[in-house]
Amino acid sequence: MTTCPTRSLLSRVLRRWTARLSLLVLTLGVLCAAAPDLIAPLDPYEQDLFKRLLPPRWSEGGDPMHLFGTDHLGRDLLSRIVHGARITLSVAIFAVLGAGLVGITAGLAAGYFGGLFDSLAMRLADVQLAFPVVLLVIVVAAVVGPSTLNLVVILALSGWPRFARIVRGSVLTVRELDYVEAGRAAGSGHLKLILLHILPNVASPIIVYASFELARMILLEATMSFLGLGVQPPTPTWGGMINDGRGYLHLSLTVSLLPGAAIALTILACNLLGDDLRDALDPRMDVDMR
Amino acid sequence: MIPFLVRRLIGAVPVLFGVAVATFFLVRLSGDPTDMILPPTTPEDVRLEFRARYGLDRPLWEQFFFWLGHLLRGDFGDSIRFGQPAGELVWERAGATLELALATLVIALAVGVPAGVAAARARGTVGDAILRVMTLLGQAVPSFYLGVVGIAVFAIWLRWLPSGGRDGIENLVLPATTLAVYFFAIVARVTRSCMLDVLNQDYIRTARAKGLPESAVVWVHALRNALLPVITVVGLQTGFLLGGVVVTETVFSWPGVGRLAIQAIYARDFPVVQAVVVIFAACFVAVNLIVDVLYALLDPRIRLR
Amino acid sequence: MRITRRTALTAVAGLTALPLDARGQSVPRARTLIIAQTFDPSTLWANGTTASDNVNVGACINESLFYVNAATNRTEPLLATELVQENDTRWLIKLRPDVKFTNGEAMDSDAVVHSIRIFADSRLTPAYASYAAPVEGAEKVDALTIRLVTKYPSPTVLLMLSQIYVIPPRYWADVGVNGFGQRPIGTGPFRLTEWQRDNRVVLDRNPDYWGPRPDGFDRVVWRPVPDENARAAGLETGEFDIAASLSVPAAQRLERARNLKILESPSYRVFHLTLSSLSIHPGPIQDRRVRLAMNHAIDKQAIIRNLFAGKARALNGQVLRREQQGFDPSLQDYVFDLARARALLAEAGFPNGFETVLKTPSGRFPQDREVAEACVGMLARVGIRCRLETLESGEYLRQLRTRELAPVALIGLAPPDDPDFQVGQYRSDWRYSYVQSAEFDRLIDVARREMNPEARAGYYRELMRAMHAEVPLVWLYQGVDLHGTAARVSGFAPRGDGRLPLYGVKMAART
Repeated sequence: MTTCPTRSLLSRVLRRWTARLSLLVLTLGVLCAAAPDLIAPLDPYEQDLFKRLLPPRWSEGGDPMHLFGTDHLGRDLLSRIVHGARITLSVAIFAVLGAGLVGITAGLAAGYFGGLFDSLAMRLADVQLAFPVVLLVIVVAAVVGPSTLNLVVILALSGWPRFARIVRGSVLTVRELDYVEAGRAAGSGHLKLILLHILPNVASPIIVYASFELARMILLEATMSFLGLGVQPPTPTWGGMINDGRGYLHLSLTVSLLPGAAIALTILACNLLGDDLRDALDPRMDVDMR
Repeated sequence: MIPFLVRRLIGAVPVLFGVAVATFFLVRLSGDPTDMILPPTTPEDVRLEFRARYGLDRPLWEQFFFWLGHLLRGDFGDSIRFGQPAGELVWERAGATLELALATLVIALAVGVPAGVAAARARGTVGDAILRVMTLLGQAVPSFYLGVVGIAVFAIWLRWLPSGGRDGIENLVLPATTLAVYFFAIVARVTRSCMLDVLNQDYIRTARAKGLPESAVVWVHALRNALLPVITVVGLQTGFLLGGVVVTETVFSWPGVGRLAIQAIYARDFPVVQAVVVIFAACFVAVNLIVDVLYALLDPRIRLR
Repeated sequence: MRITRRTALTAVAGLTALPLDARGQSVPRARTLIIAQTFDPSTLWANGTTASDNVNVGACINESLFYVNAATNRTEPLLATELVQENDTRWLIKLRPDVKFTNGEAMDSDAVVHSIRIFADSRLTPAYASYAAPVEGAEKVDALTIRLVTKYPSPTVLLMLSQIYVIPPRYWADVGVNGFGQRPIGTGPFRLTEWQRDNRVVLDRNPDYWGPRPDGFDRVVWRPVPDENARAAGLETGEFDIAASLSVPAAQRLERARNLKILESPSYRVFHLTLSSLSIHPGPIQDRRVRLAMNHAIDKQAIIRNLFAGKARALNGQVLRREQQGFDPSLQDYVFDLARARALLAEAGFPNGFETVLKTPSGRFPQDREVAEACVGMLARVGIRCRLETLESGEYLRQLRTRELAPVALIGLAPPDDPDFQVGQYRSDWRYSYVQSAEFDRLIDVARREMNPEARAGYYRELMRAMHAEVPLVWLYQGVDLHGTAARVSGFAPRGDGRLPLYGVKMAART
């Protein structure tokens, strides 16, 4: 039998102020991603070639219409950052979901059934982990072409091995526990055993790891956008904005600085949340999961 | 020990093979390199001749076996862009990348380990909190962003450091420091938590009771045991280091293997891309092996497995 | 991996790059000219590729028969002294006497005949195949004279001869094309000292050079610096003496620096939006009025003023540049007129506009994506809603080659500096031509064979008028290359094709 750990987990986590702050930041991010038109003050695509590279409103030379200033084509920075959240967060979240789905399934099966399947799956994971991730993503992006869907698939594919590894490790520990033996003795089928008994007990490391993996995916997406291999312009992406701003650093620092701050803030929130989740769930969990 | 090593080495072979095969097919799907090399005004028959010379017009399976045969003899083929053997091109730049990677590790360890130890000793104080914030930020800020800002501040505005290239020590400072920030954060964090664990152990209390000076207790006895996980983490993070090197070399125009790889990918120079990926994977596997060996040497329980 | 002694040595050499310029101490910095360009050469053989970054370095070592001097806008003798036309297809080339390669071989008819043979061999020199197309062969007449035979009358012979770099035949036979590309030997003012891949190419003065000694410097170092901001920054800090291909914002900033000079050189590169009127791309763009409306809808002056700070030139409704023979000064581009554009669209049956796709490369040309984004914005104002498709360089070039860059695409090509190469892209059977016009074809063909320069120019002017009327594209702008030099460098004359010849460059002593 298993208790529902969610409610008590949530209350334990929310006791910490860092967790509250992180959740706030992430919720803000998700809101921006879900309904950017409601939050952003202006159209992120509208150009005004006479109002390029304006500083923030409170600076000298700022424009009251543009709180954070404008980019090199006169587009409002704040609106672009809000819309940029959509790409970055949706790609990262779907990539983690995809990686998780594949990884958890593979890890569960490998840990539970063992044998040939285990060896094969782990070999495959080894091969993929040996690939330098950034190069792998660049090569594949160059092959299939840059687009949102391709990016999600590539990032998900790059993330499944680590999920699988962690899940498998946990399954191996849990597999021998008493009540699992009891369940087996009572004649429960494999699927039922896995879903009802094993999965809830490996949930803790999965949740913690997912949080860190989200941070990693955000970083990867930003890197790809920075290199020009992510979602294509004129769709705003945080990494792409940093790259665009590089040529104009002496004229406007904010064009590159602000999207970078957004990336750092979001990654920070994910990491802090992961730390707090881990402390709430099981402080002795493997420290170097990140 | 030896059978352990041999077993791991044998296990590494199919991994590398898998990587090589996957890269072969992936890059070939990215398109035709002739467009990148010959000007658009080139007559069609000349273009087809060029393709034939590199075997690009053969069926994929034929190309694969041809390539496999050469790979087993240690020959990565000739670069389509340069005409030189791909392996040689990687060798030429390996020194630069190694320099960057080593400098990064040295900085990260030299600053991170003492910082972690100090934080562990000063647990709960303001200093500890500051370090925690720094490590959190260090892991959150993308290294390419740091690089762009670093160039803007130190190279363009202050003019203290050059903005790229590789001549003397001053060129190494900015790229290595940029990349080291992330590792410093990890090293400091892991060192701190491992030191905290170790400092609570019985044998530390015994050493203190024996009257040993505190600095000896910390730096000699405790650190030696705390270093093990640090080494493991560093080894595990090699994959990230290789990836970080690629982006950093691009931002700083550092003439290393990473930059060669990116140029080759864009130019569809298949032999070079294949060579770089396989070599990177081999390095990754090698580092993991070294970490495993070190682990086994330091922790006898593992050796016996 | 096969580890030869050479690879081991190069690996060690790569590791030891860190000690400061141990080999470089013999030439002081004050007498070293350091030039930053975009890419590292892939070969030092000037005829290895047409990429200017490659040829710039290789041309310091090997020299061509003739040389197009951007400062005087004339083709001048270099290793050849005279070109005499015998008849429509036979030319005599007289060579400069007493010139030697740095390995002692003589630069004479044998060497030049050999070089022409290599140049015309499309297996060895595929990149120059379009230049070499008319060549039938070359034969030695005497020690300093050769005869060039072409397959058909070709008015571009002089241009071609300025692209042939003369190589030493015995050395070439010894090392082959790849070996030569890594260690070339030539007759030029400099010879190769060291090539650290992706970092620097070091050339030292050739003490036996036949021509004038470089004024003020004994060593040239070419640095590949892909990031344009880094090139600009290096120029400011004195790291570089010359920085090629600066971006507009960088040039604007550096213009105000007292110890720097910014040079504007009109590029051979012409930018336009290609509008496919081919039958395989059906759609509203097939209608001439729609194409005309698009020309009226885009404010080209605003693009030039705002995106390039005025550092680009308007195209007077033609694809030939002001400096070229065949440019018709009486033609003007279609003016920016939104009302007219809307009226034309309504007349053509699209009062509410239509949807289409605009393809652009990203990062292939300066600010290419920004220009495309600006055009999308402007076209939207008259109802033409474009989906912007950004293509990676390789894909862009592939689609160019296969006529997939349709219905609308940003194209900025810089063909060789002769009207035939420029307009030949619009001949109906050309690989990436998006127009099919019997009239264009006729004029292109007849001008191609016309040996009389005046008559030739007349045909091209007629062609420009025909194109202007037919509106096969949206003329945008002619690029301007921006290069920066330190104040003590003078006589630098960059060419519109990105070539940076060092002939006539002077460097004053450091103050």
